[in-house]
Amino acid sequence: MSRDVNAPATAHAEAAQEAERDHANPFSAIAIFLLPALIVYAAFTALPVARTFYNSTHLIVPNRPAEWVGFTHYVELWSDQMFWKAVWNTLTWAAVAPVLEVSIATLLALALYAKVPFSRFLRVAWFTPVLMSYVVVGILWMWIYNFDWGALNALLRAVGLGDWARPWLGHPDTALPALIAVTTWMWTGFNMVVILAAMSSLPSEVLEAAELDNCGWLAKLWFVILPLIRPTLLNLVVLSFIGKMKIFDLVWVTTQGNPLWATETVSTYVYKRAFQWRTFDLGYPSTIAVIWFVIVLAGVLGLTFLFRQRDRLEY
Amino acid sequence: MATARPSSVFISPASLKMGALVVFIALYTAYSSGPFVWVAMMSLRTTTEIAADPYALPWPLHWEKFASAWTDSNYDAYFVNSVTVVLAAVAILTVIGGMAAHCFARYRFRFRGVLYFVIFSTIIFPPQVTVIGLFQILVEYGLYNSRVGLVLVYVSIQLPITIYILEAFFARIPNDLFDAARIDGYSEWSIFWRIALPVALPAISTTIILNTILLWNEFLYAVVLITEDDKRTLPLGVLRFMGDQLEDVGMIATGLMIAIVPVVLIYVFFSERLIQGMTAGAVK
Amino acid sequence: MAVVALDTICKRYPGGSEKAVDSVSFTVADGEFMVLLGPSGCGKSTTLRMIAGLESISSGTIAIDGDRMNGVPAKNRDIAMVFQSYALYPHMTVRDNLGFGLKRRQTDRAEVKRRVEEVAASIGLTDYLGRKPHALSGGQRQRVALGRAIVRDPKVFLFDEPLSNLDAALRVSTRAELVRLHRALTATMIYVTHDQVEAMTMGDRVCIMSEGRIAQIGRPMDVYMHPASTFVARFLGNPPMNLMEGAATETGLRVNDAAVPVATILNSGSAVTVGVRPEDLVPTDKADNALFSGQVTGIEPLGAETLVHVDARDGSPPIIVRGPREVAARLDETIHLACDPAMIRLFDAQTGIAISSKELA
Repeated sequence: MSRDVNAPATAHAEAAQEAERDHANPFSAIAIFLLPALIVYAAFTALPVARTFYNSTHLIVPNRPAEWVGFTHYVELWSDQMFWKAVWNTLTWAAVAPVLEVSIATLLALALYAKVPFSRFLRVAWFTPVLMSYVVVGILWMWIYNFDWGALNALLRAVGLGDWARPWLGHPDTALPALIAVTTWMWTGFNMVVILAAMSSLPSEVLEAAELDNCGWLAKLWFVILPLIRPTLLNLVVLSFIGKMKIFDLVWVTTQGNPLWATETVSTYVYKRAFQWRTFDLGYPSTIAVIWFVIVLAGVLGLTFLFRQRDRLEY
Repeated sequence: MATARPSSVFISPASLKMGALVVFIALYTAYSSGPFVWVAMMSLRTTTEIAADPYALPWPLHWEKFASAWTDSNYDAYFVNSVTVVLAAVAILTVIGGMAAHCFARYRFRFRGVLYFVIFSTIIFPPQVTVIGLFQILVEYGLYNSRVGLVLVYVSIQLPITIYILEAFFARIPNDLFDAARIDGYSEWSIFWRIALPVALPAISTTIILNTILLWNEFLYAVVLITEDDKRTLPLGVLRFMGDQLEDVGMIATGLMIAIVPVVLIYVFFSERLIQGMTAGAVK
Repeated sequence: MAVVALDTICKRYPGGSEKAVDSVSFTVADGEFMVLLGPSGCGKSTTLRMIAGLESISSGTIAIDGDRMNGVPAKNRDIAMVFQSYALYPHMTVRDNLGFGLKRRQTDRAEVKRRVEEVAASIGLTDYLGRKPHALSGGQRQRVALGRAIVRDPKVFLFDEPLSNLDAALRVSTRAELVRLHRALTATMIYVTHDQVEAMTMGDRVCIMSEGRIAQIGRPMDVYMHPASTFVARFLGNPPMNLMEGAATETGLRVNDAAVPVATILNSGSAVTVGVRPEDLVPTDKADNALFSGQVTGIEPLGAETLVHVDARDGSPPIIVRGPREVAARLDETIHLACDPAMIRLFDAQTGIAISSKELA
């Protein structure tokens, strides 16, 4: 795509030099409009990324010049048990959460699409969690999961399932699922709104045609509605995947990776190695960041490719 | 599929279906809203009251807790910091993001496609890959532990999505409008301010609201780049307060409400715009 | 008031191999109404936009009143333009839309106000000055667009298909209004359209363009009567001019086995394309002298006139005849058509270029 745009642009610039100023695309205006954004982008996005890549092959200790260590960090990372644990946790999160969010959201959207009463209120109520800061959400859910007086355990005891009560965030087996439930709580309403919008924009003729074909409600859903909103669903899965691969705030507020690294994510691990462990080396955490960057990129590309491929087969 | 059609079962399948739907919706609504109701109630009760019964109704209402959150702890400073940082960042974002988006939508120039792709692709970057480099750079330029530094970082992280949303809108404005303004005698610069921005006001307000909420809630960059207490933003402040006063549940709940209320207010007044902004990236 | 002169104007778009506008030259006299007519993609709009200064000129020169305009930005050319989409500023009231261009040039607020109200009155928009474009009808929007040009009192008015978004009835009345306006302002106007009726009824002169080049320039009736090429012959006129194959003979022409007494200086035997307007064909009994004979395949009564489709069934294109309200022809019967030799137009069979009347003895 970029090449198409570019080739004519080059010829254009030459033509403009030969002939006269290009009234439609004055260079000075383009420069003025674009420069501030480009400067901010270069200084606070491109440069830091480049710096991180540079770091990853150096030992970066305060008050000393960076020392070239080649790929030592990368080799070290290969046998870093904690890193792999963090990768496993994050990937689990990024695999499970999108499926949960999008499937529950589809059900909710269908409920609203079927015109249940109070749908406006419900939409607002379900969407609200996504507007909260992870800090607020984290503290709130720490209380809900609290063993002594948390809402979840209180509820279990109230319905006679007191045996199930436990410190949900304090046990290695339940901590990660508990946190996944929190992100699901946050993001499902958001996904629902998007899906509902996609459903509402479906051409009514298609649904009426299905009606005429004497299509049952479930059949209509399965054979007409879902295939039509499929691109939206795939988009949401990718979006949710990206979000979970970045997750930091929630973990940092609630468990900081505990217990026993059960909730350690790559983000929290990088943060700990860079700013908490007092190793005073920024090189190694940069290496983690670079590797993770590559994995996220591969994941996104892979998902996109996978979905594209299947879409093509179906047509 | 058979249940979808009227059949000769004793209990009408339609009412059964309706019942299941209502139960499902009620359960989910409790799951999604319950936590807010709970924290809102706690924010108006003292810690002693909460300890006695965490789920009782807030009576009497302790409104004075909000005043003391303001005076006794540092919430006033955190709140002011958050407001200044977010407002400054959103203002800069709107102007320079709008300018860049206008440029991408309006003009054809060399490297246009490449530049747009490069900026847009940062949306998928994990923050780790920038945060360490940013930390070093800000330290070197004396912008570490500074609100100015945080504002600039906030501008940079929200820039791609801002340009993305605005570019899509600007591109839909017919070119004739700009040609007409050119013939009417206006420079490219004043055309941007007098035509493009006013016409794109719906999209501009969408990005303003979206950026305000996302930055109001931002945590990772703030926790890395700000360590001095008097410069902390509200999310850091609330967390810090919790670290200090772990047992003071009532007061923490009040702090949480202070962080939530502005967001809820924006949501109440601009819900359609906000939903539009939040979902802009998800719908193609 | 101004003279607009185009001298071998070319426009080559980046990446495009063909020239969008190729060596276009014409001069629009002071106060003249010039229409650029052609099918879509013929370069007429691009030419107009180069005159406006919205597109750069690849080569050639454009001058207004003798001043070279190449490289002069649109805002400094003292021109006004009416767009097909009207391009009204949606966030401004009618008053601000009209005054937007004036305010840029004229600092005296009271004078701007006076001008705006004067023009609004002249186009009947006084009651709508406080409204925004979305609260106006299509015709009213069109008038605002027109008013925005008039209020500036420019040297040259440019119109880019300004009527194509109007419904048919409104188009007819606006056409008349534009002609009246042109007389009142005695301004130089250049008008782009693909609608030949607009071109015929409004233009002092018509410039017909095809594939970036000028096909013919002239007064509307001259162009209609003496098309310079088969392209113009078929583009202008509805239904278009009938074209038939023919050959020159010693005594004149042979068309469909009929001898037509038209004197030419062509070599005997050379192939020509013979053109006759549908209204110039009349039925005749004499089969051997008929220019064209064929079966009636369709009769279209249009009220004031009737179109008769005649097909020779020999692979040659069917002929359309424009007859009076009542025609004698019946479907499927064979009829013979003749024509006044003076109304016959000849074109080179290869190039399609007209063999001019001078060549006809």
